[in-house]
Amino acid sequence: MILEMNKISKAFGSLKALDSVDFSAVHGEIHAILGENGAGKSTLMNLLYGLYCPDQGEIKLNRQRVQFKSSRGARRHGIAMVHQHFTLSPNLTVAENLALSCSKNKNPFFSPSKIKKWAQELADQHGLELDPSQKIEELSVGEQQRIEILKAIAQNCEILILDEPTSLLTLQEVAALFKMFRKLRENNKTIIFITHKVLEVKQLCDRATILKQGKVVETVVVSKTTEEELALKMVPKEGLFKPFKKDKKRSGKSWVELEKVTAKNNRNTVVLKDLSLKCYQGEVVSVVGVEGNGQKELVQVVRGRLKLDKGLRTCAVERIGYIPSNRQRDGLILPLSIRENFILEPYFLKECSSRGFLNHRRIERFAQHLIHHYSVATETDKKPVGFLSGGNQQKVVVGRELALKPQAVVAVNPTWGLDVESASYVYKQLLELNQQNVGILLVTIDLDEALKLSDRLYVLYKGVLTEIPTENWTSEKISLAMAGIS
Amino acid sequence: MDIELFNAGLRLAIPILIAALGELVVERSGIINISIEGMMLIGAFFSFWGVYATGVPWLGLLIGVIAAVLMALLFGVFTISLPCDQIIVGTAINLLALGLTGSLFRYFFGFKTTAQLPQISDFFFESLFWFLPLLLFIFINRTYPGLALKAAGEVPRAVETMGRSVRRIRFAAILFGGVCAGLAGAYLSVVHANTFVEGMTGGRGFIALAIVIFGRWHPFGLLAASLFFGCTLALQYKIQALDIKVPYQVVRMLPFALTLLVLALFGQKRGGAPKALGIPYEK
Repeated sequence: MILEMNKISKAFGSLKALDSVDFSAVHGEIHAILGENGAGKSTLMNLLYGLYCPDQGEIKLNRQRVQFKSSRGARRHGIAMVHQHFTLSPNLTVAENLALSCSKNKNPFFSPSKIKKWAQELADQHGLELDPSQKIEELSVGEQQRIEILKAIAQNCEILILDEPTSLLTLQEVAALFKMFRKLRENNKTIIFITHKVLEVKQLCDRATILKQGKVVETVVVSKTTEEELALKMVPKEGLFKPFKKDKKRSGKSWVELEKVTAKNNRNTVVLKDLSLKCYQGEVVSVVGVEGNGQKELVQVVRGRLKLDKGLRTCAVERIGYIPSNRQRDGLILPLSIRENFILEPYFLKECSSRGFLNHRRIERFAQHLIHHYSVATETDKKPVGFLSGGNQQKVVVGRELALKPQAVVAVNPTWGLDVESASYVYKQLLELNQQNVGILLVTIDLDEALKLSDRLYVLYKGVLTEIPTENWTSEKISLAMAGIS
Repeated sequence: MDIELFNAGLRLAIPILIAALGELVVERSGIINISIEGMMLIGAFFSFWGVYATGVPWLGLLIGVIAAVLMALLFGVFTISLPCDQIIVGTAINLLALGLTGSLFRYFFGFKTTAQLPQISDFFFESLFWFLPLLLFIFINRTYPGLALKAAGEVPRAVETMGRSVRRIRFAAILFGGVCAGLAGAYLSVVHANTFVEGMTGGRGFIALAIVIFGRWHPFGLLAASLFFGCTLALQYKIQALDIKVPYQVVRMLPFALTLLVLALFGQKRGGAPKALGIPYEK
């Protein structure tokens, strides 16, 4: 047993992220931590890596109790974590990056040919094909990631933590990564693999610990279970969901129609394939699916922000309210005040200015109205949005986007990271609009939310949309479709 | 090109290249130091004062360098430890240096500017001119601290995860930049002019800053760029002496216009500039 984590608890404010979690890993295994977003996977591993301190519980490495105050301490004990952002210097070669991270108090001079040879040997030993004289900036994301892993190994790490390592990769790159993992396992390294993709767990891992809402559901031996079982265990609630009974009919007019749309992402890979979708006014259409299956591009297509490769988009409305998934990056400008964030919407900006100058009295009246109406908890509208809590930030976004009665709304994970109260507030706002015959497209990974709100429901998997008929609206069937098993 | 012109150009290029090489190291670490002008001026005054007071040229030179390094230390404390905006601190130090050297000069020497120094051979500076780029090239491309320097200006976080301190690297770079600026300033007063005049650097620090860009952050590039600039400067003096019927302002423009032209022709080549240049590193 190389690693034991016993009865680990951690709370952020009132949110209990981890509740008495037990976790252990042995030498030479690939251990998955499986769970939905917000299940506490990353929190658990950040604790192990010394980024957070646990409120309760103990961590033992090789039966020795340890406590890390920072990631430096964890690294000294042979724990490495590969994050989404890489820590390689793009202007140096592969060999230089590797050699630099392993050189300590040695002769300051190096010979380029020697470090090249050394890097090549290291790569061969761990099943990685590389050209050590290439500069990092010339490499793809997947290649950089593998070198990042190699770097961790070269620094004598025994436990390697990877947080959703496949989310940025193409299929070929995933295959190359998995090949490297298997080789590392042969070399007796321990790999902890954070993921929500059941398929990858089945393909790669020896054991899996399933987390759900901060608690361990079970630790299973992967070979003795099936994808279906795994998928079902990670879903928050089981059984049949009762959709809200909504007493109204479709207005008959569609606000957006996509016909056989094919589109590419910014890395030029096809992410939407032959996709058709029709959204009617007064109807909530949900698209559920695991992130990275084309949601981002679908939203861009619906909003008319992405060029289509093939197919047709017809849009009958002008003003589409947009609640982005990442409110801090795409929805708000954090250092600006609440007031200024409200008038980011071009229509409001026009309303609040005269002859090209801002009319601050009008802006203030308008901001006060929105703050009151959407009950944003703040003492002044001049406060930078970055100082608000997540829920209040979302209220600013929702307020701005919904206040002017948009003709349709695209909401992407609108309750992400919100507490129950704020979330139900957002639902209420959306449903209210819906009652007023506004079309709503909800793109979400939260099945629960989709089932509660939708009139129709689609699953997006690898760029293909599948409609789920109402009689199949059970978490089981939908989770399987989300994992590509059906 | 005749050898005389080249020698004149070389003498003009020496202080610029030495200061620029210091700035190269500073910028490679991710800091932009626009106060080389001020640090050169400090070096020029204090080395002059040192030689004048002690009568020993090398001791004077050392005093000048130490004074410039103290300035660099001040710059480092403000830009790294606090950290303040690098451009503002740089500007402040430029102004401080101008005022400080001017006042001290008047205090010690009154208004008589005829204080002459013993002649010093420029052999040391000439060899520095040729060998410092080579040494820096080897340092940057063949040693680990050199690699860490390059990484610090590109992805500082990467350096930190490699167990090296970005702050320490940047501080060391700034101090090296101070040594270079001090030497360059000392060359101006002690070797070149044999005296000190208020504001005698005359914008050479800023030219050094431009030379770093012109030479694309590469030691040999800087060598070529400074030689090019020095020679056109020498050419300009020569043309002025020839008494050709061209307004002298036009002739004086020549080095700058030519540099601009070369930059326009060859400057669009991508890359070179450290990506984290001017961005303070905070853990």
